[in-house]
Amino acid sequence: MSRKTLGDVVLESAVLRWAAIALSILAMVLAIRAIHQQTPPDHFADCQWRFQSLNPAGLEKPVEFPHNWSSEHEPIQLGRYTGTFQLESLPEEAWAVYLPSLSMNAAVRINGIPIGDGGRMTPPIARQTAHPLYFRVDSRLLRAGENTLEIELAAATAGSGYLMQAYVGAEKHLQPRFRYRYSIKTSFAQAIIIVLVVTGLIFLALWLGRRHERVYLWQGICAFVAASVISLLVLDDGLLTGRSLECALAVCLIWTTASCTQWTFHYLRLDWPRLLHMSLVTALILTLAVPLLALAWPEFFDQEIRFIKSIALGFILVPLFFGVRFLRVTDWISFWVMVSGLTIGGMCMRDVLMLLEWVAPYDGYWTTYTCLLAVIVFSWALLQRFMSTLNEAEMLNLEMSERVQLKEIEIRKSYDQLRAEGQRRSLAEERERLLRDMHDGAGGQLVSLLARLENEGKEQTPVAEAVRGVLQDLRLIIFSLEPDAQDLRSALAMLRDRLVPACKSAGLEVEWDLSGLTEQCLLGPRNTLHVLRIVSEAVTNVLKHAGASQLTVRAEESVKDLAITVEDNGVGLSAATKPHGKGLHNMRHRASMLHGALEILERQSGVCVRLRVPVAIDGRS
Amino acid sequence: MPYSVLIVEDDEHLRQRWVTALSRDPRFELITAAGNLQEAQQLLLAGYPNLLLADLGLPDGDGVDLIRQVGQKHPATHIMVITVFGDEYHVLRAIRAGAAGYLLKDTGATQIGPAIDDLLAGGSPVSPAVARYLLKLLREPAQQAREPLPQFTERELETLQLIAKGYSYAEIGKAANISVNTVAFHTKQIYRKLSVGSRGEAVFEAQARGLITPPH
Repeated sequence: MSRKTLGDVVLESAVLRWAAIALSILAMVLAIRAIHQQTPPDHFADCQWRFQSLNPAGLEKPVEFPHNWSSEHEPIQLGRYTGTFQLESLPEEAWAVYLPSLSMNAAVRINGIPIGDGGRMTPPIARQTAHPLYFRVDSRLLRAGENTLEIELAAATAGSGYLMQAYVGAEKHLQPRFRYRYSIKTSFAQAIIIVLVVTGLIFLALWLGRRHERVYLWQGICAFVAASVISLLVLDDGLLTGRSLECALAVCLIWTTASCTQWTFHYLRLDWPRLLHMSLVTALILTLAVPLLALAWPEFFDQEIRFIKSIALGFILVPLFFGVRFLRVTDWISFWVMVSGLTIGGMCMRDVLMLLEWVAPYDGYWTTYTCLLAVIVFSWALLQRFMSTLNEAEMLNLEMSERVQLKEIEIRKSYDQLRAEGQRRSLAEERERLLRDMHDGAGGQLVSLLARLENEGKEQTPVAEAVRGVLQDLRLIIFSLEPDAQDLRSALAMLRDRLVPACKSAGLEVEWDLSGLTEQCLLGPRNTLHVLRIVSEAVTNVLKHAGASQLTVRAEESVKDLAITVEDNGVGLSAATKPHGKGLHNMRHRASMLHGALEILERQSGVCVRLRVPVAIDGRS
Repeated sequence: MPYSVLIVEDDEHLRQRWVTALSRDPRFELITAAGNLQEAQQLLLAGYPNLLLADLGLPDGDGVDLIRQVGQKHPATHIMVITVFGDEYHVLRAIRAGAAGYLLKDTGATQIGPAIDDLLAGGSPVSPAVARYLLKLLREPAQQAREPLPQFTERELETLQLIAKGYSYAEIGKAANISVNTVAFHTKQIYRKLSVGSRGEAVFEAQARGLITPPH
């Protein structure tokens, strides 16, 4: 029984699941908020600030930070902040001016002397977009007593400028704050761009390998487009300026949300091609419409570009909706996908509100910060899918190859069987044919020849004997060829049937004892034939030359050999060696073919011929 | 009582030999010989013999047909098939057609008489080869479809199996604990069942009751 982990419990209950999701999102949001939290430097000069609009010209007035130009009555293009502060004595250490967050660009002067700017102050204006600026102040520029700090701020679009805060003080207090702010705003963004580009490349490459998995394509595109958006935001100066920059930003935002939509549909494997087509077509139309708008109605464009960007970002709600509706949170991957998705959606909404000026613009786009989690989670999800597909494919492959192997073995076996069958059948057919030939041909002719000799009164001649011998041998051959007749016992029994009648009519009492043989005594066709011929020869010898009255044929099988004896009580060998010398020679030869031995023993009366054959003969020798 | 014999054999030398051998035996008179089916039919028109020795491979037909014909038309005739090797296929065919046994063509002259006597006395010899062949046929379902074989009793099958293994009648008797006569009875039953339809029960009944006496 497997114990359920806390994680399983959380995932299984809908309430707990959504609670966990909400908590995670909250944690994310709080984290982003926390990193944007600004602590003022430990020491900085206390300034009195006044603001004056330069374009259009306006009156100077006191101002408090953060100061957003959208709250002014007129759309201001260029403005100046003047701050005065008192110094008791000249500081020994180096000083600096630190501007944590501003829109567009600023130029700074200390006591009338310019100490730096963020780039071009005239169109096309260099962009900062909520990124920090930091200028060192040469201590020689400072005076004891009253000092003046002037900050000129330029806005790209009239009325859209802001300055969140301006600090002047010792470098050792200001620099750490600047460093921190810079790292979270600029360095982080640069890092994220690299991560997104690399991710985009990886997934596009994956898609090239698996064309039908569109989700890889859209992950790649989304990553590239998101990287473009962030680069455009981080860019301070470049080819694209002013209006074209805004255009590019808007188009990239459109494609970010469009590719997110595509990604969501493919990831969830929702089969709604029309919806997908519609979203792509919409994106294309907008991509064409926005530049057209910029060209045809530039002022209108300038005024309303933030709305256009809001709408573009707002489209994120489409994938968000479908994601929440159709993603089943069953494991940790889908949990984090849900969290990432919702976080992205939430941050996009927050950024929309910022574009619509319902949220202060001082901390810039927060969606950038969700990119990291998103990249990690979505890549992980897709890679997991990729790996499981791979594993499945491997397993199926293995299974398939195993099955193929088994089938191969099966096929080979049945093929071998068929071949053996075929061979057996053709051998059997051959044998049938052979036997028939012998029966109809050779056998018949020999018998006819014998009859002819008998008719001419020559049945006792050597010729007739020879013919009888041939006929007998033919019988033995035919018998040994029978496939079922391989056991020695039946072979010798057949011989008995052939020889005993002739013996009886010659007045020879025959005892044919095969009780010492088992049925399992198999010698194979060739060896059986040898044994039959030897015994046949021996018995025929007794018949013809021994002049005996008693003949005993006995076969015995022991552990190490087989012994067949043919005994008679006749006159013995010495009396008539010559006539059957050749026969004995034949018998000895055949015995050696059997790897056995032939003993010929002369008894007091009669001869004992014993054939010993080692039992280990295998039927095929 | 003189026995009439008809020998049907296409080889003239063999035919001559049979005639010579049989004529030496005083019991056999009226020995006629034919070289083919047609001649045999001609001779049969004159009358059926007591004993028919038929070769199977005749130039103008199969000897089995002749055997069947004689067996059906004149069941009193004893039929023996003469064969070179006594091979099981031909012997079984002949037995099913109604032959009472077989004689080897090269049976020694002195042995012909006793051999015929044995057969006429109801010897019903079953060689190991024939027994083996019969058992193989009984196992083959295809054979049963073509030419159904009769049902044999367990005892008869046992006897067949022992013969097939090369046991002599005496050995079978010892193994199955029956007398040699009982063994012979089983083989006779086997023959009878095989040739049912060819010769009819009548002949065997008649022989059993001693109505048809073998020559003495």
